[in-house]
Amino acid sequence: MLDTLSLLRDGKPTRAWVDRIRTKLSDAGRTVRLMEICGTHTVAIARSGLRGPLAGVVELVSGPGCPVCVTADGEIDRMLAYCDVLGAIVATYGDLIRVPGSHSSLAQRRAEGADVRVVYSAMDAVQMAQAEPGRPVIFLGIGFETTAPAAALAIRAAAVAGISNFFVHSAHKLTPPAMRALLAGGGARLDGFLCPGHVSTVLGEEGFDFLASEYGMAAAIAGFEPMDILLAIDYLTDAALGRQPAVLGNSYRRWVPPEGNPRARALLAETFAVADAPWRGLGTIPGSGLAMRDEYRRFDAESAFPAEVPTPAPRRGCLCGNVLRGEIRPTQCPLFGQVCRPESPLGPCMVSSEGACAAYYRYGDGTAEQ
Amino acid sequence: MFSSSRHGGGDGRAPGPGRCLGNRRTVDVTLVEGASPGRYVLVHAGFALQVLDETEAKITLAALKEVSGDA
Repeated sequence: MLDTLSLLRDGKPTRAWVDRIRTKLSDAGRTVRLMEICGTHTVAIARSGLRGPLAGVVELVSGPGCPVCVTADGEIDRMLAYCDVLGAIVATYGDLIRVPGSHSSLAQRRAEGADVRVVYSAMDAVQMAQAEPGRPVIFLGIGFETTAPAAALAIRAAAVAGISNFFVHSAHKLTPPAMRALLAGGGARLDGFLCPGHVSTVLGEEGFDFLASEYGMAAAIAGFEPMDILLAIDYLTDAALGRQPAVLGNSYRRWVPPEGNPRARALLAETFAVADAPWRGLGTIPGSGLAMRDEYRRFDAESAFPAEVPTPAPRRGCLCGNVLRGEIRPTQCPLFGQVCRPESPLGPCMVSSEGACAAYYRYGDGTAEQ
Repeated sequence: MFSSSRHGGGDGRAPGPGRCLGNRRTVDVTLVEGASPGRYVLVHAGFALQVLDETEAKITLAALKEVSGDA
Protein backbone atom coordinates (compact mmCIF):
# COMPACT_ATOMS: atom_id res chain seq x y z
CA MET A 1 0.00 0.00 0.00
CA LEU A 2 2.89 2.33 0.72
CA ASP A 3 3.91 1.87 -2.94
CA THR A 4 0.46 2.91 -4.15
CA LEU A 5 0.45 5.98 -1.88
CA SER A 6 3.95 6.93 -3.06
CA LEU A 7 2.97 6.56 -6.71
CA LEU A 8 -0.06 8.79 -6.15
CA ARG A 9 2.37 11.36 -4.80
CA ASP A 10 4.72 10.96 -7.77
CA GLY A 11 4.68 13.97 -10.06
CA LYS A 12 5.69 12.05 -13.20
CA PRO A 13 2.28 11.55 -14.80
CA THR A 14 1.34 15.18 -14.18
CA ARG A 15 2.43 16.58 -17.56
CA ALA A 16 0.16 14.25 -19.55
CA TRP A 17 -2.80 15.35 -17.45
CA VAL A 18 -1.98 19.04 -17.83
CA ASP A 19 -1.78 18.56 -21.59
CA ARG A 20 -5.06 16.68 -21.62
CA ILE A 21 -6.87 19.48 -19.78
CA ARG A 22 -5.22 22.21 -21.90
CA THR A 23 -6.15 20.45 -25.12
CA LYS A 24 -9.79 19.94 -24.13
CA LEU A 25 -10.23 23.60 -23.25
CA SER A 26 -8.20 25.03 -26.14
CA ASP A 27 -10.10 22.90 -28.67
CA ALA A 28 -13.38 24.17 -27.25
CA GLY A 29 -12.13 27.77 -27.01
CA ARG A 30 -13.02 27.81 -23.35
CA THR A 31 -11.49 28.80 -20.05
CA VAL A 32 -12.62 27.71 -16.59
CA ARG A 33 -12.46 29.50 -13.28
CA LEU A 34 -12.41 27.15 -10.28
CA MET A 35 -12.38 27.87 -6.57
CA GLU A 36 -10.92 25.81 -3.77
CA ILE A 37 -12.17 26.47 -0.25
CA CYS A 38 -9.56 24.70 1.82
CA GLY A 39 -6.32 26.08 3.21
CA THR A 40 -4.53 22.81 2.53
CA HIS A 41 -5.58 23.06 -1.14
CA THR A 42 -4.33 26.65 -1.22
CA VAL A 43 -0.90 25.48 -0.14
CA ALA A 44 -0.95 22.30 -2.25
CA ILE A 45 -1.83 24.22 -5.43
CA ALA A 46 0.76 26.93 -4.79
CA ARG A 47 3.49 24.41 -3.94
CA SER A 48 2.70 22.20 -6.92
CA GLY A 49 3.20 25.12 -9.30
CA LEU A 50 0.13 23.96 -11.28
CA ARG A 51 -1.10 27.51 -11.93
CA GLY A 52 1.70 28.15 -14.42
CA PRO A 53 1.22 25.14 -16.70
CA LEU A 54 -2.55 25.69 -16.65
CA ALA A 55 -2.39 29.47 -17.15
CA GLY A 56 -4.61 30.79 -19.90
CA VAL A 57 -7.13 27.96 -19.69
CA VAL A 58 -7.69 27.24 -15.99
CA GLU A 59 -7.83 29.93 -13.35
CA LEU A 60 -7.54 28.61 -9.80
CA VAL A 61 -8.80 30.97 -7.11
CA SER A 62 -8.79 30.55 -3.35
CA GLY A 63 -11.98 30.99 -1.36
CA PRO A 64 -12.78 31.17 2.37
CA GLY A 65 -11.01 27.95 3.33
CA CYS A 66 -8.27 28.98 5.72
CA PRO A 67 -9.56 28.61 9.30
CA VAL A 68 -7.52 31.45 10.76
CA CYS A 69 -8.23 33.75 7.81
CA VAL A 70 -12.01 33.49 8.02
CA THR A 71 -12.01 34.28 11.74
CA ALA A 72 -13.42 37.81 11.94
CA ASP A 73 -11.71 40.73 13.71
CA GLY A 74 -14.55 40.89 16.25
CA GLU A 75 -13.99 37.22 17.13
CA ILE A 76 -10.25 37.80 17.61
CA ASP A 77 -11.02 40.80 19.86
CA ARG A 78 -13.40 38.63 21.87
CA MET A 79 -10.70 35.96 22.22
CA LEU A 80 -8.17 38.58 23.36
CA ALA A 81 -10.53 39.51 26.20
CA TYR A 82 -9.97 36.06 27.75
CA CYS A 83 -6.37 37.11 28.45
CA ASP A 84 -7.82 39.47 31.09
CA VAL A 85 -9.58 36.67 33.01
CA LEU A 86 -7.79 36.24 36.33
CA GLY A 87 -5.37 33.29 36.24
CA ALA A 88 -6.52 32.15 32.81
CA ILE A 89 -4.60 29.86 30.50
CA VAL A 90 -5.64 30.56 26.90
CA ALA A 91 -4.93 27.59 24.62
CA THR A 92 -5.27 27.37 20.85
CA TYR A 93 -3.80 26.13 17.58
CA GLY A 94 -0.55 27.75 16.49
CA ASP A 95 -1.55 29.99 13.59
CA LEU A 96 -4.19 31.89 15.49
CA ILE A 97 -1.90 33.53 18.01
CA ARG A 98 -0.21 35.79 15.45
CA VAL A 99 -3.43 37.05 13.89
CA PRO A 100 -3.94 40.70 14.74
CA GLY A 101 -7.34 41.73 16.06
CA SER A 102 -8.29 45.39 15.96
CA HIS A 103 -5.84 46.37 18.73
CA SER A 104 -3.55 43.44 19.63
CA SER A 105 -2.87 39.75 19.02
CA LEU A 106 -2.63 36.74 21.29
CA ALA A 107 1.12 36.68 20.67
CA GLN A 108 1.38 40.30 21.76
CA ARG A 109 -0.71 39.61 24.86
CA ARG A 110 1.57 36.67 25.64
CA ALA A 111 4.62 38.92 25.34
CA GLU A 112 2.88 41.25 27.81
CA GLY A 113 2.49 38.43 30.33
CA ALA A 114 -0.73 36.59 29.45
CA ASP A 115 -0.52 32.79 29.62
CA VAL A 116 -1.24 31.88 25.99
CA ARG A 117 -0.28 28.35 24.96
CA VAL A 118 -0.20 26.57 21.64
CA VAL A 119 -1.68 23.07 21.58
CA TYR A 120 -1.72 20.31 18.98
CA SER A 121 -5.11 19.02 20.03
CA ALA A 122 -8.05 20.26 22.10
CA MET A 123 -7.40 17.27 24.35
CA ASP A 124 -4.06 18.85 25.36
CA ALA A 125 -6.05 21.75 26.83
CA VAL A 126 -8.19 19.32 28.86
CA GLN A 127 -4.99 17.86 30.30
CA MET A 128 -3.81 21.38 31.21
CA ALA A 129 -7.08 21.94 33.07
CA GLN A 130 -6.58 18.67 34.91
CA ALA A 131 -3.00 19.60 35.81
CA GLU A 132 -3.97 23.06 37.08
CA PRO A 133 -7.44 22.73 38.60
CA GLY A 134 -7.26 26.18 40.21
CA ARG A 135 -7.00 28.02 36.89
CA PRO A 136 -9.53 28.39 34.09
CA VAL A 137 -8.25 26.88 30.83
CA ILE A 138 -9.95 28.49 27.83
CA PHE A 139 -9.58 26.64 24.54
CA LEU A 140 -10.16 28.78 21.45
CA GLY A 141 -11.80 26.46 18.95
CA ILE A 142 -11.42 27.53 15.33
CA GLY A 143 -11.61 25.56 12.12
CA PHE A 144 -14.21 23.65 10.16
CA GLU A 145 -16.02 20.31 10.29
CA THR A 146 -12.62 18.65 10.64
CA THR A 147 -11.42 20.30 13.86
CA ALA A 148 -14.81 20.74 15.54
CA PRO A 149 -15.10 16.99 16.36
CA ALA A 150 -11.82 17.22 18.31
CA ALA A 151 -13.26 20.08 20.38
CA ALA A 152 -16.48 18.13 20.88
CA LEU A 153 -14.58 15.10 22.15
CA ALA A 154 -12.56 17.33 24.47
CA ILE A 155 -15.78 18.76 25.93
CA ARG A 156 -17.16 15.24 26.38
CA ALA A 157 -13.93 14.10 28.04
CA ALA A 158 -14.04 17.05 30.44
CA ALA A 159 -17.68 16.27 31.27
CA VAL A 160 -16.92 12.61 31.95
CA ALA A 161 -13.89 13.47 34.10
CA GLY A 162 -15.89 16.09 36.02
CA ILE A 163 -13.47 18.87 35.09
CA SER A 164 -15.00 22.26 35.87
CA ASN A 165 -12.17 24.60 34.84
CA PHE A 166 -12.11 23.73 31.11
CA PHE A 167 -13.91 26.06 28.70
CA VAL A 168 -14.26 26.28 24.94
CA HIS A 169 -14.86 29.35 22.83
CA SER A 170 -16.46 27.89 19.74
CA ALA A 171 -15.60 29.91 16.65
CA HIS A 172 -15.95 26.76 14.51
CA LYS A 173 -17.41 27.24 11.07
CA LEU A 174 -19.32 25.15 8.57
CA THR A 175 -18.22 25.02 4.96
CA PRO A 176 -21.43 24.48 2.94
CA PRO A 177 -23.20 27.64 4.23
CA ALA A 178 -20.17 29.72 3.16
CA MET A 179 -20.36 28.21 -0.34
CA ARG A 180 -24.04 29.05 -0.43
CA ALA A 181 -23.27 32.63 0.65
CA LEU A 182 -20.67 32.95 -2.11
CA LEU A 183 -23.11 31.63 -4.70
CA ALA A 184 -25.89 33.90 -3.43
CA GLY A 185 -23.50 36.85 -3.70
CA GLY A 186 -22.85 36.25 -7.39
CA GLY A 187 -20.66 33.16 -7.18
CA ALA A 188 -17.36 34.90 -8.00
CA ARG A 189 -18.00 33.99 -11.68
CA LEU A 190 -17.11 30.38 -11.00
CA ASP A 191 -17.35 27.38 -13.28
CA GLY A 192 -16.87 24.97 -10.43
CA PHE A 193 -15.67 24.19 -6.93
CA LEU A 194 -12.84 21.98 -5.77
CA CYS A 195 -14.50 20.67 -2.62
CA PRO A 196 -12.30 20.37 0.47
CA GLY A 197 -10.93 16.84 0.77
CA HIS A 198 -10.53 16.79 4.52
CA VAL A 199 -13.90 18.38 5.32
CA SER A 200 -15.35 15.79 2.94
CA THR A 201 -13.95 12.95 5.05
CA VAL A 202 -16.52 14.10 7.63
CA LEU A 203 -19.37 15.39 5.42
CA GLY A 204 -19.02 12.83 2.64
CA GLU A 205 -20.32 13.33 -0.87
CA GLU A 206 -23.73 14.00 0.69
CA GLY A 207 -22.39 17.23 2.16
CA PHE A 208 -21.71 18.79 -1.25
CA ASP A 209 -24.42 17.28 -3.44
CA PHE A 210 -26.42 20.50 -3.05
CA LEU A 211 -24.00 22.41 -5.29
CA ALA A 212 -25.19 20.53 -8.35
CA SER A 213 -28.75 19.78 -7.33
CA GLU A 214 -29.65 23.25 -6.03
CA TYR A 215 -27.29 25.57 -7.90
CA GLY A 216 -26.39 23.57 -11.00
CA MET A 217 -22.76 24.21 -10.02
CA ALA A 218 -20.09 21.72 -11.02
CA ALA A 219 -18.06 20.45 -8.08
CA ALA A 220 -15.56 17.73 -7.32
CA ILE A 221 -14.09 16.51 -4.05
CA ALA A 222 -10.34 16.72 -4.42
CA GLY A 223 -7.32 15.34 -2.59
CA PHE A 224 -4.03 17.13 -2.06
CA GLU A 225 -1.44 15.53 -4.32
CA PRO A 226 -0.92 17.35 -7.65
CA MET A 227 -2.51 14.36 -9.38
CA ASP A 228 -5.58 14.48 -7.13
CA ILE A 229 -6.06 18.13 -7.99
CA LEU A 230 -5.57 17.53 -11.72
CA LEU A 231 -8.05 14.67 -11.65
CA ALA A 232 -10.66 16.98 -10.12
CA ILE A 233 -9.84 19.80 -12.58
CA ASP A 234 -10.22 17.34 -15.46
CA TYR A 235 -13.65 16.36 -14.13
CA LEU A 236 -14.70 20.00 -13.76
CA THR A 237 -13.41 20.73 -17.26
CA ASP A 238 -15.64 17.98 -18.67
CA ALA A 239 -18.54 19.40 -16.66
CA ALA A 240 -17.92 22.91 -18.03
CA LEU A 241 -17.82 21.52 -21.57
CA GLY A 242 -21.10 19.67 -21.02
CA ARG A 243 -19.41 16.28 -21.36
CA GLN A 244 -20.23 15.40 -17.80
CA PRO A 245 -23.63 15.69 -16.14
CA ALA A 246 -23.73 18.26 -13.35
CA VAL A 247 -23.28 15.83 -10.47
CA LEU A 248 -20.68 15.95 -7.74
CA GLY A 249 -17.42 14.27 -8.64
CA ASN A 250 -15.12 12.61 -6.13
CA SER A 251 -11.46 12.16 -7.01
CA TYR A 252 -10.53 11.39 -3.40
CA ARG A 253 -12.46 8.17 -2.91
CA ARG A 254 -9.59 6.53 -1.08
CA TRP A 255 -10.28 8.79 1.90
CA VAL A 256 -13.83 10.04 1.22
CA PRO A 257 -16.65 7.50 1.22
CA PRO A 258 -20.08 8.73 0.03
CA GLU A 259 -21.40 8.83 3.59
CA GLY A 260 -18.34 10.59 5.07
CA ASN A 261 -17.96 10.00 8.79
CA PRO A 262 -21.45 9.68 10.34
CA ARG A 263 -19.95 9.10 13.79
CA ALA A 264 -18.15 12.46 13.71
CA ARG A 265 -21.28 14.23 12.43
CA ALA A 266 -23.42 12.67 15.18
CA LEU A 267 -20.90 13.83 17.75
CA LEU A 268 -21.07 17.38 16.37
CA ALA A 269 -24.87 17.37 16.40
CA GLU A 270 -24.99 16.11 19.98
CA THR A 271 -22.48 18.67 21.27
CA PHE A 272 -23.15 21.78 19.21
CA ALA A 273 -26.19 23.56 17.87
CA VAL A 274 -25.99 25.27 14.49
CA ALA A 275 -25.78 29.06 14.91
CA ASP A 276 -25.13 32.17 12.84
CA ALA A 277 -21.45 33.08 12.60
CA PRO A 278 -19.37 36.05 11.44
CA TRP A 279 -16.86 35.41 8.64
CA ARG A 280 -14.12 37.72 7.54
CA GLY A 281 -15.01 38.99 4.10
CA LEU A 282 -18.44 37.37 4.02
CA GLY A 283 -20.20 38.95 7.01
CA THR A 284 -22.58 37.01 9.22
CA ILE A 285 -23.75 33.83 7.50
CA PRO A 286 -26.90 32.18 8.87
CA GLY A 287 -26.40 28.66 10.19
CA SER A 288 -22.66 28.64 9.51
CA GLY A 289 -21.34 28.29 13.06
CA LEU A 290 -21.45 25.90 16.00
CA ALA A 291 -22.59 27.03 19.46
CA MET A 292 -22.56 24.89 22.59
CA ARG A 293 -25.74 22.92 23.26
CA ASP A 294 -27.51 23.66 26.56
CA GLU A 295 -26.27 20.38 28.08
CA TYR A 296 -22.71 21.61 27.66
CA ARG A 297 -23.30 25.31 28.35
CA ARG A 298 -21.14 25.10 31.49
CA PHE A 299 -18.14 24.61 29.21
CA ASP A 300 -19.00 27.64 27.10
CA ALA A 301 -16.31 30.29 27.55
CA GLU A 302 -18.49 33.12 26.25
CA SER A 303 -21.15 32.48 28.91
CA ALA A 304 -18.63 31.86 31.69
CA PHE A 305 -16.55 34.96 31.01
CA PRO A 306 -18.80 37.63 29.53
CA ALA A 307 -17.05 40.69 28.11
CA GLU A 308 -18.16 43.76 26.23
CA VAL A 309 -16.21 43.93 23.00
CA PRO A 310 -16.80 46.99 20.82
CA THR A 311 -17.45 46.35 17.13
CA PRO A 312 -14.05 46.75 15.47
CA ALA A 313 -13.54 49.39 12.81
CA PRO A 314 -12.98 48.05 9.29
CA ARG A 315 -9.34 47.18 8.59
CA ARG A 316 -7.74 49.90 6.51
CA GLY A 317 -6.01 48.95 3.27
CA CYS A 318 -6.07 45.20 3.90
CA LEU A 319 -7.95 43.36 1.15
CA CYS A 320 -8.16 39.95 2.89
CA GLY A 321 -11.94 40.02 2.52
CA ASN A 322 -11.73 40.45 -1.25
CA VAL A 323 -9.14 37.65 -1.42
CA LEU A 324 -11.39 35.33 0.61
CA ARG A 325 -14.30 36.02 -1.76
CA GLY A 326 -12.12 35.16 -4.74
CA GLU A 327 -12.52 38.69 -6.14
CA ILE A 328 -8.82 39.45 -6.35
CA ARG A 329 -5.59 37.52 -6.36
CA PRO A 330 -3.32 38.21 -3.37
CA THR A 331 -0.83 39.92 -5.67
CA GLN A 332 -3.48 42.48 -6.62
CA CYS A 333 -3.55 43.85 -3.06
CA PRO A 334 -1.36 46.98 -2.89
CA LEU A 335 -0.01 45.91 0.51
CA PHE A 336 1.08 42.44 -0.73
CA GLY A 337 4.81 41.90 -0.36
CA GLN A 338 5.30 45.60 0.40
CA VAL A 339 4.21 46.38 3.94
CA CYS A 340 2.39 43.06 4.35
CA ARG A 341 4.83 40.13 4.47
CA PRO A 342 4.91 36.85 6.39
CA GLU A 343 7.32 38.25 8.99
CA SER A 344 5.23 41.40 9.50
CA PRO A 345 1.72 40.49 8.35
CA LEU A 346 -1.08 43.05 8.32
CA GLY A 347 -3.86 40.64 7.45
CA PRO A 348 -4.63 37.06 8.46
CA CYS A 349 -4.28 35.74 4.90
CA MET A 350 -0.57 36.56 5.23
CA VAL A 351 -0.31 35.31 8.83
CA SER A 352 -1.47 31.76 8.38
CA SER A 353 0.71 29.38 6.42
CA GLU A 354 -2.58 28.23 4.86
CA GLY A 355 -3.57 31.75 3.84
CA ALA A 356 -3.69 32.57 0.14
CA CYS A 357 -1.39 35.59 0.56
CA ALA A 358 1.24 33.59 2.47
CA ALA A 359 1.08 30.81 -0.15
CA TYR A 360 1.51 33.28 -3.04
CA TYR A 361 4.33 35.02 -1.20
CA ARG A 362 6.16 31.79 -0.51
CA TYR A 363 5.63 29.96 -3.81
CA GLY A 364 4.81 32.73 -6.28
CA ASP A 365 1.74 32.63 -8.51
CA GLY A 366 3.16 29.72 -10.51
CA THR A 367 3.41 31.64 -13.77
CA ALA A 368 7.05 32.70 -13.50
CA GLU A 369 8.38 29.86 -15.65
CA GLN A 370 5.80 30.35 -18.39
CA MET B 1 -2.24 19.45 10.90
CA PHE B 2 -3.14 16.58 8.64
CA SER B 3 -1.21 13.43 8.06
CA SER B 4 -1.95 9.97 6.95
CA SER B 5 -0.45 7.68 9.47
CA ARG B 6 -0.17 3.96 9.83
CA HIS B 7 -1.96 2.47 12.75
CA GLY B 8 0.43 0.25 14.64
CA GLY B 9 -1.63 -1.12 17.49
CA GLY B 10 -4.53 -0.53 19.82
CA ASP B 11 -7.90 -2.22 19.93
CA GLY B 12 -9.59 -0.05 17.34
CA ARG B 13 -11.41 2.19 19.83
CA ALA B 14 -8.95 3.58 22.34
CA PRO B 15 -5.99 5.79 21.39
CA GLY B 16 -3.32 3.67 19.79
CA PRO B 17 0.26 4.23 18.74
CA GLY B 18 0.66 5.13 15.07
CA ARG B 19 3.52 6.10 12.81
CA CYS B 20 3.62 9.34 10.85
CA LEU B 21 6.60 9.88 8.56
CA GLY B 22 8.50 7.45 10.76
CA ASN B 23 7.54 9.22 14.00
CA ARG B 24 5.47 7.51 16.64
CA ARG B 25 2.35 9.36 17.74
CA THR B 26 -0.67 8.50 19.80
CA VAL B 27 -3.81 8.81 17.72
CA ASP B 28 -7.39 8.71 18.99
CA VAL B 29 -9.43 6.37 16.80
CA THR B 30 -12.78 6.84 18.57
CA LEU B 31 -14.34 8.40 15.48
CA VAL B 32 -13.51 5.69 12.94
CA GLU B 33 -14.39 2.07 12.41
CA GLY B 34 -11.90 -0.55 11.31
CA ALA B 35 -8.65 1.15 12.38
CA SER B 36 -6.91 -2.15 12.94
CA PRO B 37 -3.13 -2.57 13.22
CA GLY B 38 -1.38 -2.00 9.90
CA ARG B 39 -4.14 0.14 8.36
CA TYR B 40 -3.61 3.75 7.34
CA VAL B 41 -5.70 6.48 8.96
CA LEU B 42 -6.14 10.16 8.13
CA VAL B 43 -5.38 12.16 11.26
CA HIS B 44 -6.46 15.68 12.12
CA ALA B 45 -5.63 17.45 15.40
CA GLY B 46 -4.86 14.13 17.07
CA PHE B 47 -7.97 12.28 15.88
CA ALA B 48 -8.33 9.78 13.06
CA LEU B 49 -11.16 10.89 10.73
CA GLN B 50 -11.01 8.10 8.14
CA VAL B 51 -9.43 4.76 7.38
CA LEU B 52 -7.81 4.42 3.96
CA ASP B 53 -9.82 2.51 1.37
CA GLU B 54 -6.94 0.62 -0.23
CA THR B 55 -9.02 -0.65 -3.14
CA GLU B 56 -10.04 2.90 -4.09
CA ALA B 57 -6.40 4.04 -3.83
CA LYS B 58 -5.45 1.40 -6.42
CA ILE B 59 -8.38 2.33 -8.68
CA THR B 60 -7.34 6.01 -8.60
CA LEU B 61 -3.76 5.12 -9.41
CA ALA B 62 -4.87 2.95 -12.34
CA ALA B 63 -7.04 5.80 -13.68
CA LEU B 64 -4.12 8.21 -13.48
CA LYS B 65 -1.77 5.84 -15.28
CA GLU B 66 -4.26 5.34 -18.09
CA VAL B 67 -3.77 8.90 -19.31
CA SER B 68 -0.07 9.14 -18.62
CA GLY B 69 0.50 6.04 -20.75
CA ASP B 70 2.57 3.99 -18.32
CA ALA B 71 -0.24 1.68 -17.26
